[in-house]
Amino acid sequence: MAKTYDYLFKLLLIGDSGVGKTCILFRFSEDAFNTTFISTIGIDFKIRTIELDGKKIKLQIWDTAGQERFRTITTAYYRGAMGIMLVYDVTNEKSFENIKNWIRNIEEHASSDVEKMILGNKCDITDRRQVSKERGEQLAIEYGIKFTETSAKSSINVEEAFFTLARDIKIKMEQKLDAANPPRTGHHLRANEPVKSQRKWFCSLL
Amino acid sequence: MQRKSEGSVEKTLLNSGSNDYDHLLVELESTDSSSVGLVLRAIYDGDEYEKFMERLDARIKGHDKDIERMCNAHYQGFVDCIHELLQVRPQAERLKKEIIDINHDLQKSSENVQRKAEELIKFRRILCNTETAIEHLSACLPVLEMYGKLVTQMNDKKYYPALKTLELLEHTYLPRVSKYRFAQAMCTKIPMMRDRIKEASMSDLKDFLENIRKMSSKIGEIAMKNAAHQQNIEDGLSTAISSVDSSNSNSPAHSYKKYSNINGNPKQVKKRKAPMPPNPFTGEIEAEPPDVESELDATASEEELSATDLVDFSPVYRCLHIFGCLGAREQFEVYYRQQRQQQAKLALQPPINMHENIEGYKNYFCGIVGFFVIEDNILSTAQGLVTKQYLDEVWENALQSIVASLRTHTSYCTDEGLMLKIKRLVMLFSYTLQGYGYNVNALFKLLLEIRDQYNEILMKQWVSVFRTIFDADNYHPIQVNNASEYNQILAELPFFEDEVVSIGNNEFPKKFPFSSFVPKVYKEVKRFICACLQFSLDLNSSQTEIEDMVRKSTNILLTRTLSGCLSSLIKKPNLGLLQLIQITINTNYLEVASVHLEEFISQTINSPSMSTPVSTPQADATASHLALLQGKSMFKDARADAESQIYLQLNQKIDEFLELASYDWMLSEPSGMSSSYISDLIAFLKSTFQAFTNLPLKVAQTACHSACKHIASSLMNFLMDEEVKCISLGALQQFNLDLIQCELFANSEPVPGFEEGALQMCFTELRQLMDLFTIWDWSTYLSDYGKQDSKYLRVNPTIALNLLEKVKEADKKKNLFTSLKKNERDKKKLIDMVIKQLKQLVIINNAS
Repeated sequence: MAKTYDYLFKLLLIGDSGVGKTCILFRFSEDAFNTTFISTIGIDFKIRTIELDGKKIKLQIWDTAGQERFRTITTAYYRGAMGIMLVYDVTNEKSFENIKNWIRNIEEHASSDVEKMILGNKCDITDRRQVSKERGEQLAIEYGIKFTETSAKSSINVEEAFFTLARDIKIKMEQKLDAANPPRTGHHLRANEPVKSQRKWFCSLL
Repeated sequence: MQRKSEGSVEKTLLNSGSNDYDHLLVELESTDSSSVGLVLRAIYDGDEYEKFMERLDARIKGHDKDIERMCNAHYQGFVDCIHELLQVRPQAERLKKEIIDINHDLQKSSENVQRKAEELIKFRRILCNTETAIEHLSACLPVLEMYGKLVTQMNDKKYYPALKTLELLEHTYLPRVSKYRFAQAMCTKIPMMRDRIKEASMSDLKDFLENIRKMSSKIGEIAMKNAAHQQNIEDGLSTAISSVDSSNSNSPAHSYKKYSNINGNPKQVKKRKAPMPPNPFTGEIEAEPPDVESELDATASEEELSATDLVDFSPVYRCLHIFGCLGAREQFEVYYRQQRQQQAKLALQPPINMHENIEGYKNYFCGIVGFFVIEDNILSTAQGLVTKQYLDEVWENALQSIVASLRTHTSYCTDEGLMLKIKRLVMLFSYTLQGYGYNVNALFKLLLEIRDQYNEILMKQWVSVFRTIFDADNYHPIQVNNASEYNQILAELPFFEDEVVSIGNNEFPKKFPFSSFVPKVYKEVKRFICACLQFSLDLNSSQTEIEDMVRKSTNILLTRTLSGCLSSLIKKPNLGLLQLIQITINTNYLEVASVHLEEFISQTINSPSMSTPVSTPQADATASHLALLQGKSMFKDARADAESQIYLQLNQKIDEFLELASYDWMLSEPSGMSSSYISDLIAFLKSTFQAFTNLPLKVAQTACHSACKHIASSLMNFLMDEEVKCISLGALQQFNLDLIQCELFANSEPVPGFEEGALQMCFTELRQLMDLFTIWDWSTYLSDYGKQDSKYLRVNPTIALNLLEKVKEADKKKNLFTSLKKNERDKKKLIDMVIKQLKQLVIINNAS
């Protein structure tokens, strides 16, 4: 059971049904694209190992079903997530408007310090675009969240988005670790508060 | 007599004696000189020479005196005569002069006459010549006339009469005038003429050959059309082709209709009287009395055109006659056959790109038909130029070549519509030539081969059809929102009416349990059956044969094509659980539906008008059928495949979680909660079984059971990992916590319908092992070992030994400094003892 990675980050993809969460994940994990729309049932995940600043990071990315009927199953996964991708479809106004609801969901169910990012997917489709990049940007700024437009089909910004999110999580985590473990103190401090957020995840499932 | 007289002289001389000299003189005076000698001798012999001399002299003097007297007597007369003569002389002179004058006059007057006479002679001669000339010329004229005729005949290309003329000329006319140079010239020219005729007729023949080469396609087309009318089948040559094209080769059902129309509506076909003999050359159509019908026909279409209008056969006949006359008939036959065989070779040479479209095949067939139709005509009209035997031989060779080239060309074909058209053409081709008495069995055999190939093409096509269907499916149960959508599905699969479920309280939307690929695949299989049938339709096979063939092909489609597509679909690496589950469900329904295919096949084949492939459920279906469809078992197998793939996928997902496991095997204190990876894993399994509500219970149970077993064995592998050399009791406690999570999951009845404790059984071995180590209950284990009711029945001593040695190793490290304590020393002793005992057990176990 030798540890093959330095960090394990759990990420979550949320957003309306059909915005392309599964496709984004498929692009990131397999570097491929599938045109047929097969809606996700319940929850699925993919794992991909990336390297950041010499650290091996395993990204376990949870792909949630956008459909309402799976909401109870999917919200259970919010708490353990260290990073959340909020995905909307630039050709679908409604999915953009719903981002606010998704953010409310996050505030309700996820840990408070979760890293977030907004993705405007399907940016390769120009003729049916309904949401401009600027509006996406504006919304992101409003919530103080990073934003990028992506296309899983044309492989635009998908990689970058995940790396950005992973880097942000890594920075935050290392800050916390430094704060919690000032040079070489004993074990007893580990049970203290800063680690709590991580522990909370395990508890929730017990 | 003279001698006699001499003798007498002598005698007289002698007798006369010497005194008789007078006598001697008389003798001398006689004219006989021969007696002189005798006289002289007689003189010399006598001695009276002088006497004689005196006598002689006397005699002379006598004579002289006679002379003198005579002269005196005649002298006056003489002078008178002279005188008279002198008087005559001037008269003679005058006379002479007169005569000269007269002569002169005469000369003068006769000159003219002479000239006339000469002229006359000349004209006589001319006349004579002229007559001769006329005579000769009149002999020559017919020859020349003949020759002239010959030349005009030659110029008019009437070679056969020319040849006759030549014959006449040579044998009848020319011999008569052979002496003339022109005749000789003609004679020498005759062979040349012959050659020219030969050449000319040959060149005519060549033109003819060229012509028929050009026309044979057209002739073939007409012959095939006629045959088509006779057989009442579609000729597919011109009009039909366009309609087939427009009807789109992809809809066999459509062409079905066309066939049934033709069969069901003979009136339409019989409208025109089929030509009596298929031979378009026998002028019989023309020979028919011009009744109303044929008049109508004449106006009806140009198809009625007899092929004699297209090709003038006279050059062949002419040539044949000419060569016959020239005694070179055999040469001509050889030449003709050679040329035609050459043409046959050309006709049999399929165009290189023939496989690309039907036009190529059409031209090819028309060309060949044309060739043989022409030959047939030649056979029946030009006696002996070709023989039946020869023609059969040519046909036999041609047939081989046709079969070979069709075989190669059809093998390139990948379009089933084209294949059908080819089939129809080959059929028509065969019927046409059969009509001419050629043996076409090989072609029918070939058609069966082509049918196999056609089926192969269909198979290939259906591979992509199925793939497309699979790719396009969303693997969600079909939801219909209104009656028309609902009926659409039911029309295809009427037997699933009971399977539909309403969502909510309203009638619509309704939901079918299967995804869209079920109706689509079913429909495609039916379409395949129809397409299969299309080829066999008029192939001279019995219905049973056809049905058997269709069933066989359908079986191949199901067991090879569809099964292959399904299995490659199932093996697709990025296929999710969702798809696999839906495939499992779908195969269930396809299995049920496949039974109805039997019905469909027999209905389609037995229905009098195979108009629509849509089934009307009534036929007595599978009464006595030869090959049963193997769809059912195939779908079962596919389902089993999909199911095992589900288990595999689930286990792969589990593996991904397990890869995240990171135990600290030297942990001194357990964290008090399970490891995060196991929590995530359990949560994932729970939500998966919760979300996939349509997973068949049996499959869900198996999946759940296999997942638990997989987790258990993986956990055991963690402990037994050779890389892990030492395990602290703290770590074991942490591991125990994780195991408890799994047991909780097993207890929670994630899938209903398990027998009590069946899932938990998966973890029993681990549980007993953990208990043994956490309770440290070695005495019980060792004493109860082998008993059926042992608390640690499932703990294998080998595993226990392995784990205990790791624990001992961990203790050793930890207690490096405290090992001197008594407590620890006792503990170590105990461990050593247990290890010893365990080793014995292992040895015993291995021995037994």
